[in-house]
Amino acid sequence: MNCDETRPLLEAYLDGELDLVHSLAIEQHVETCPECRRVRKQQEALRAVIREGLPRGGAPPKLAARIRADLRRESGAAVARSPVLSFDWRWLAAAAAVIVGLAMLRPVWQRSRLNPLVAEAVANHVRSLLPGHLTDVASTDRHTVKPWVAQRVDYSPPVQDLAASGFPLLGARLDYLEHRNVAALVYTCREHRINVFVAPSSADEAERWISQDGFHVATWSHGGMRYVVVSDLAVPELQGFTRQLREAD
Amino acid sequence: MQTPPAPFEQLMLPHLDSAYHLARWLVRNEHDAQDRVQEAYLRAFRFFPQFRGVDGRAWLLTIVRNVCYSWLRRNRAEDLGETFDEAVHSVALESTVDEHARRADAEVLTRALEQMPVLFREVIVLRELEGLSYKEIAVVAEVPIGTIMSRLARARRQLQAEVAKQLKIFSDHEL
Repeated sequence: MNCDETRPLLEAYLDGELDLVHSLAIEQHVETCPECRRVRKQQEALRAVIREGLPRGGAPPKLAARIRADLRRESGAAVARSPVLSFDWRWLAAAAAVIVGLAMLRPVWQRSRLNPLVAEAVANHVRSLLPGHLTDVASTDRHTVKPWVAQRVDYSPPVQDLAASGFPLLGARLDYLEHRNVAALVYTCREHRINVFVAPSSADEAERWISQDGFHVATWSHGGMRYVVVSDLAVPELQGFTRQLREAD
Repeated sequence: MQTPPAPFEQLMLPHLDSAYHLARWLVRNEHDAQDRVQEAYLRAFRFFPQFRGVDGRAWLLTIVRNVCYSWLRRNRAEDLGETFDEAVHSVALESTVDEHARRADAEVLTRALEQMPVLFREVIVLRELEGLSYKEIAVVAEVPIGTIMSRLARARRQLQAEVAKQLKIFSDHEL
């Protein structure tokens, strides 16, 4: 690749949107080209400025309460409206609901059969984000978290301190995955939470990635443990996290 | 005993911060953003039976975006009339970002982003604040991926130029 080919793809490369072949070609060119290296550095600096500078306060707590109240009122209204329907209409509506329900069931069933582990891990992740559900032991110290976990499951998963790489440990919790209790280690990156489910496994497995409902899931097995990582963090950053986790392992 | 949250709440409330950030930057005001997000959630709840369970966050953000754009059309039509300023690109590209990095604090960046056209603001927020992929942004903004790619590149260049301009205004005031 030369400069003319590299420049238009550089942003997509930095955003982690290029395939492996093009990414490698760009890396090779940038290594040998000072000018492209300068442009890349500038681009990286700009991204850092934007990411660090943008205020990310999140929604005010009152807003969630307002929305919940709305939803309760709306559900109540839907129930209250239904007796107004005449008998025939209700029958028709019920039949329609069954048909729609069946139609909706199929893709869900197919998807969950395709990868029940992913669906379950994402559901666990979403549940962990509800207020008060994230950690059973909240500590950034792995020497606190590791013994806590080991006392509650019949194995001792590795717990890493990745704060220096930008992924501080938040703590751990006991969760349930594939019909057994598993340790869920919780890390964070800016406002994003990362759940790492760890359970014993007999065979090594290569890393696999899949996305569902806006969440990204990575799984692999190594050293007698299987890892399932779930987060809504952007894929390139989450890849950085799994790389750090595997290197520390 | 607490009743378990309904599937809608379970699937959609975890994305509340994302929804709020997008609305905040589309309508450029925290109070209006809260009202828009509340409206969007109610609308999402009513349309929820049509949700096919592919990507909950993108689905919700699409609704937030539509609600915000309708509101802008009714209340601040001039915001939507903003045209892209192509000339601005060349301004600051040669000034080093390192200098911006030192001086562009949250206030400067906020002001700079607020000066940008709404279509640029939304790609910056969805990509840099919310970490959406090009594909997910394309779903939310309802345009092809290629458009997102070039729009994001232009938005970043313009933001860089705006930051430079804001810093200049800032230092002019100081003098």
